[in-house]
Amino acid sequence: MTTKVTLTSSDNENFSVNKEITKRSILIKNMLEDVGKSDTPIPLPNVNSKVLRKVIEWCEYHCMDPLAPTNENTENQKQNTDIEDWDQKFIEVDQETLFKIILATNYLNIKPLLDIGCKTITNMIKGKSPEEIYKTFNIVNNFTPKEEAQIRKENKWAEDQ
Amino acid sequence: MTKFSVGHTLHSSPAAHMPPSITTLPNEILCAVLIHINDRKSLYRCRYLCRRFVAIIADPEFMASWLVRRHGKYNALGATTLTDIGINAAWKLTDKCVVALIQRGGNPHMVRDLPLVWAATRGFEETFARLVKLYNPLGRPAENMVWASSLLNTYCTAYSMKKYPYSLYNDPTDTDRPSSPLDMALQGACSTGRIAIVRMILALDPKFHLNINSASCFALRVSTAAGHISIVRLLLAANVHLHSDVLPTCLDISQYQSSGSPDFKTRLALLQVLSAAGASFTGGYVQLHMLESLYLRGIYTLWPFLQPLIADNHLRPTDLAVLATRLLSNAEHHQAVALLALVPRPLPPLLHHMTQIVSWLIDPTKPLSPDLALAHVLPLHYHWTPILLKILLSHPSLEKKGRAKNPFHLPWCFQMAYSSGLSHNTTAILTDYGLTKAAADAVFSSRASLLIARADYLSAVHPEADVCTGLEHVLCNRIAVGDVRAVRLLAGIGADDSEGVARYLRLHWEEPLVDLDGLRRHGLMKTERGEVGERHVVRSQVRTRSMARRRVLDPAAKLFSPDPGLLCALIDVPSCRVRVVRVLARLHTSTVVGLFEARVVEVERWGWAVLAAAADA
Repeated sequence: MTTKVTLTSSDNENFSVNKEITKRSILIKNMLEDVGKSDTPIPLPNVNSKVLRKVIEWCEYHCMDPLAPTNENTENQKQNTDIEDWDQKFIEVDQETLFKIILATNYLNIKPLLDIGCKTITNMIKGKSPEEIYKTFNIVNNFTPKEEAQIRKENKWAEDQ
Repeated sequence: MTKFSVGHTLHSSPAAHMPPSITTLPNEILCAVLIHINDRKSLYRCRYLCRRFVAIIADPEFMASWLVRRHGKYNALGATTLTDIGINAAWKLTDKCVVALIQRGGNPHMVRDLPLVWAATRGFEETFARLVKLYNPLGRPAENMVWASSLLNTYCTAYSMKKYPYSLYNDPTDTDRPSSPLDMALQGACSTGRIAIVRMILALDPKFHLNINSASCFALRVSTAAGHISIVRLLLAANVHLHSDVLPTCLDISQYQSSGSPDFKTRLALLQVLSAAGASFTGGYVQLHMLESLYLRGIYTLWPFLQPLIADNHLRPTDLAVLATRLLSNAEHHQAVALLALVPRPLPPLLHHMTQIVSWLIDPTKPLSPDLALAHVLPLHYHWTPILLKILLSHPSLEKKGRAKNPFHLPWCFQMAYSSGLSHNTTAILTDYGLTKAAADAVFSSRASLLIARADYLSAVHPEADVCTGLEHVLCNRIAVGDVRAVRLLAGIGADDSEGVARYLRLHWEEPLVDLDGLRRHGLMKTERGEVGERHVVRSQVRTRSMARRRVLDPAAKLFSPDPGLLCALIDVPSCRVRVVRVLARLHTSTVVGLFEARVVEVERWGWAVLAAAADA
């Protein structure tokens, strides 16, 4: 028999979620272990309802996946930025939402979803000029002319073809 | 490909809907984004974005994580060192980052202990200390450390040294081969001037079996070449062997100055330190270009150093003569005298001439004979002859007489000059003073004129017994130009340049004759009626012969067709008489008979000898 857990978003919306599904989040899993059997809703003050809905959607889809290792030193980590098709569609959101999902997953400690979010940003950076990245990510260049010159000098090798 | 550049400033007027800034994300998220970038160049290009990205990428922990993700924790250290062995490696890792890699389980013994050598070369003290603790001197026999050698070789190139001695590794009996990667770590630290690492290595326990003299004392040589004087002092204090290459390396101030070369002051200081420690030029000479460089930078500071070098014959007489000429051309006559005074007596002939020239120049009141001066100048270096000649011709005692009056009056002296293979400049000077080729050749009008010219010359130079009489020299020149008459005259008065005549006989007669024998044996030569010596007959069909040899055999070339008349003229040269007779004996009968009939060779005097030699052949 599956039990439900209630999650409360920052805008006070309650989500009743299967307990096993919420365990994708290390934060919630630890909280559940700490409080034991309790029907008290778990408050998530850093996540709004829109983002929480998306996160729960992802967790429901991936509920059968094995839990990902948390140690970065594992040898089987592959250097790629490929994202599965479903996840790709899932993450096709506006940039603001994407950042909020990333922040939420970081808070909730859902490493696989955090990876998907970060890889999405990496893919957005890849192949772009700094000007394009500035525009895409709304970055303000805060270098002094001296710093700029220094970076240009240090980065010369990276520009050599 | 898109070119990255810094300096872009974000649009000043905010758009209606501005996307959220990535910089609002916490550092840990940005790290997670950057860690997914696959290649180093793209990662480094992210430094263009803003200060936060620069700080993250510079963070050793982040860099270690990125490397571990890229190569795996076990291989990360080895792989990183491999990509960083160039002298100008762009991948500027820090000591802390490498320590982090070791802490995360990087294998310190990857690529045959390359990380140890690399850390020493880069001056990563903390890393090096950790690697030394993990290092097992007994567990690692000497082996072919290609990558470490390659690393050190980049410094050989930078300091214009000979290549790192790779070959030593191929010889298992060579006791000089590096016994451990620790030796190479020392050499690496010496190459880049990492004195703290050098101190650390020299202070290691004897159980590490450090050999500071390995690879032909590379540690000392590279420290010297790079001008790391403090390291040289440390090595000397550790009783390093003073390799014979050390001082030449120290003085190797070639015109080409590589970027890594130390400045002249440092070289001088090194020179003093090494000389004081007893380094010498055993078995070698100081090269001329080194001397010239020293001179250009002020030879006087090196005078005390130069003295033992000259006394121990580490300077070639030619180089000393050139150096003295340089001093004279700069009107530093007294320095030239001092330089020549350092040379042990008796002086070599070349320096004797130089001393005589200097004595004239230092005392303007001493009358100068231009002929004698010419005789002294001619044996000197081809390149410096016109310079010295000009200096001498501007001597005050000659200036008084004026240029219009030809100061030269000894024809034999002219002949010697023209037989010396004068440079264009020297010829121009001599012609300007009326010393023409026609005047020079006048000595050959008869045997009597030749004897008179020589006698005049010898009487003039009599006080200078060492002055070259030039007889052999002129003979050699006349043989080269094929002047049979002059050769006869010269041989008649006793000219005997055994070396020059022997060379002529070998190249123009003996070797071609051997070739002809070979061709005849193989039926390859179309002989109509003659042999070599018959100008129009011999034609070689063998295309593989060298051009010079073909010219001798092939009259079509018309260049070196040997003249039997010249050969016969040489029969009077005592040292080569037998060889000439042997050559004559091998010629075709019709050729020899023709020579006897024309009285080119006296049959009464030489007939039996040629016959005996022919029978012998």
